[in-house]
Amino acid sequence: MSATLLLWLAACTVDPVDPGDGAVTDSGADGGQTPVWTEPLDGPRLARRLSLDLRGVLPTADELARVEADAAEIDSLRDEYLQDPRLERQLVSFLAERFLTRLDEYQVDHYDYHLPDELECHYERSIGEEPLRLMARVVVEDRPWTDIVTQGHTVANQTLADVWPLELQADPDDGLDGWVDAVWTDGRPDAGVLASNGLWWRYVTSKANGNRSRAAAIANLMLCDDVLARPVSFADTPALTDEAATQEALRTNDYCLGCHAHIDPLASAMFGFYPSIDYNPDELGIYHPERESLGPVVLDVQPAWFGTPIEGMVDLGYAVATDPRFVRCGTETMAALLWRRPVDVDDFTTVESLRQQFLAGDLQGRVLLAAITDTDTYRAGAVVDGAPEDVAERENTRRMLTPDQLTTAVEDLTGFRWVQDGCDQLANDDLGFRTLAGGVDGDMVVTPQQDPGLTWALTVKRLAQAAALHVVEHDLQSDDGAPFLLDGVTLSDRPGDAAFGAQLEGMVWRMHATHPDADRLAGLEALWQAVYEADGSDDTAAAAAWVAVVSALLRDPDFLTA
Amino acid sequence: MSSPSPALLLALLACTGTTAPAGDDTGAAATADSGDPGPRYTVDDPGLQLQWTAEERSDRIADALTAGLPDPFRVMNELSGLYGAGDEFCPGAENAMGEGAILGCTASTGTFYLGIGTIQFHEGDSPDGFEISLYMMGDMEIVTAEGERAAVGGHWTTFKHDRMDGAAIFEMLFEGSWSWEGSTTPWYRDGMSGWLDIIGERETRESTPDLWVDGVVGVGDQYIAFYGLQWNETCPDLPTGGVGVRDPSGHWYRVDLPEDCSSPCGPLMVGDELIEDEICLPMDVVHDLASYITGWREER
Repeated sequence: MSATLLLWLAACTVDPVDPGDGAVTDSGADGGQTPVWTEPLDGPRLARRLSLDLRGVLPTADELARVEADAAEIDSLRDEYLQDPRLERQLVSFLAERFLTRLDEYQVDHYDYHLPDELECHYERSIGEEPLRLMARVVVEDRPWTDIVTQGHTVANQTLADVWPLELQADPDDGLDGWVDAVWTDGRPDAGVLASNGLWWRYVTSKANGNRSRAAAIANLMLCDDVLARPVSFADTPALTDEAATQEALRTNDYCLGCHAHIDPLASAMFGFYPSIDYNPDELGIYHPERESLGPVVLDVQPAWFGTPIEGMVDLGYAVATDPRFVRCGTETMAALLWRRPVDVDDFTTVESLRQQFLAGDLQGRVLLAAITDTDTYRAGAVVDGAPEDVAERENTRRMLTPDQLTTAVEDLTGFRWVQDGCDQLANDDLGFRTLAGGVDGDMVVTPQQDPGLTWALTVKRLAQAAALHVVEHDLQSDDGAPFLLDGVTLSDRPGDAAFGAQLEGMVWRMHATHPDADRLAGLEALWQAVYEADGSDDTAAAAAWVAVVSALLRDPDFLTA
Repeated sequence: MSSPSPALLLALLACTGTTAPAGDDTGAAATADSGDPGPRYTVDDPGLQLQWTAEERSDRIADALTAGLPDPFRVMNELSGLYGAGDEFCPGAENAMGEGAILGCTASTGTFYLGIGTIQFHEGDSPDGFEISLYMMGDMEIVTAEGERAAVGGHWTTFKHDRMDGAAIFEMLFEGSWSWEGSTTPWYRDGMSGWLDIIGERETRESTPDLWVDGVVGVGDQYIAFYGLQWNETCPDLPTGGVGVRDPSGHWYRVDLPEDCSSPCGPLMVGDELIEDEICLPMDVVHDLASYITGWREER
């Protein structure tokens, strides 16, 4: 064997890398020997991240103490969170960022179904969440992920059952948030979310479009193949206003064929959802089985799944489920949602490892979630000194709470929910502030905000003030049940009192998962004292002082990030 | 630099790291160094699970084909009555729903109107004969005081021209969803949905009319497709073309009739799969229904 060959072979072995400058190597959950440029969160902060991601609420003080006392407890705590019923709601929230179905307005309005205005937001939310709840329930019922495109039922609440051709399979009072299994009564085939109204009310089509936009949505959402991201030259294509020439180009122009060769046959399978007119409840709310056979007529191509002939919607779900890209895409999707950043080529090995674990776990979503939350990327709390710039740029080590997390965490902590005219103010943009708070509206804003901004700061300021006012009134100025947060003081306690100090320490621990040092405590006491004195130094002033302190803690970056 | 030796090339090809993501068709990945194919998953192939048994198939397909075809003039008559059940403000126009009903209104009669809709009917002499045109469209809902609902989402165009010399043409294009719970006509009461084109042409009063039926129609839970059915001088009694009927499982039966229009029978297929060597369809009933709509028959 030559020396050259030996040198090459030696280079092949993936020895632990010594990246220097503080990076360590890893051969664990992320798979392979790769330099790790991040350091993990400490136990309590990681418990906080896990709790917010998997339950939507802060960990209890006892849970924080558990992982503080024994760092190894974090995994069992995570496993408990994965069994929490609130996981389903969290999955809906995360999946909404990817599927973008939670719009403020659909082509059919609530009044088209004779629903009162006070139900408008509930109606819109219900439509957008139908496919999301379906997927979330597959996960929490430990069914294989493939069920999301093959199962013969959906999930629905009473509102959807009142307006769409659905039969609820259980009393809505028995389901989480009123959502229970439901079957369609309009003859649509078994295809999970692919046969859901909620998905296709978001991804609409037109006569000229002929379901192509929906086919592209399937390729993107189920295979992570975004045809809209492909480079296309329109130099040799006819003007889009020339419909006949455009249709011809779709079948003959190389650039067009690059996408349309597989998009059009897929679109051809979806004509049961092809409306004669838009904005009509019967055209959009009801599946039209008779139109299934129109696809080949309108598009002049037989239904197929990326080259494999299919009959139509009836076997589309099976085609998707058996495509090897489907599981890979599901893995990528969940990883990106929990990592709070896009998955890129540098993540290939990690995602492959996650995919293997997903497969080994019979495609149960909880297995995948556990594996993702084991990764260094998920657990990262900071980028180490000396990390390459692109790594520092890419890793999202301090993650802004989503509007949904803010809503549920603040409600759990203070009892306050920001609702106006029946609308969650952080869940819509008609009356509320969802995008201002960093969320997606599914239409104009499709990527969650990753860094604080001015409107975000204004929104969380108002949220913090209102929640603080609510919890102080509830906990200190009324006898309306057990306190949410201020459980160790009365309006008579003052800075320097043991109870006062303990209350402050307890709140910081619960809200931020950190122990405040003396300076921090002194600062909070000073804030309390200043407001107290400015407001007249009586019980009302004491309440105002507590409002200021709670509000400040809610606006603290340690509360607003995970 | 000299070219690398074959041994070196082999070594380099093997140099892909510890785990090679070599996915196969089942989504499994292989571990390159061990040959372990890695975990796999399977999805049950639903296959072809038809719901209609062989015994009931023939009757069910015949039932679907004879369930009815959408007749625009019958619908026009019933819809006119519904538009007329309001008052001068709601829906505010004769044979139409306009401004007053866009956001919904309840007439003094108790009938509720929501949306827009119109019926435009014309009949009269033309320079060389007689014309009938009917255009109906709607994105609307009407609920009577008794709680019976009518709804339209689509449009419907009908044109007929009878020339004095006996020649005539007829065309009807039906699209969308149309229903009226109070209708006395089963196919309208159960709701019709579809995309259907019927064209008729006659050269003389004595000649056999050409008739072409193409498109899809759903009536209640019966779904039919007509693949270019055509009757003409050469094929006056039995058509060419094909017919599809949907099994409740979601699969479509298809029968392509002989090109020489010698028989109302053909092989029954689902996709590429032969289900029965031959099934015979009541094409005379379909012909009668379509002829009735074109007005070639005088029973209307």
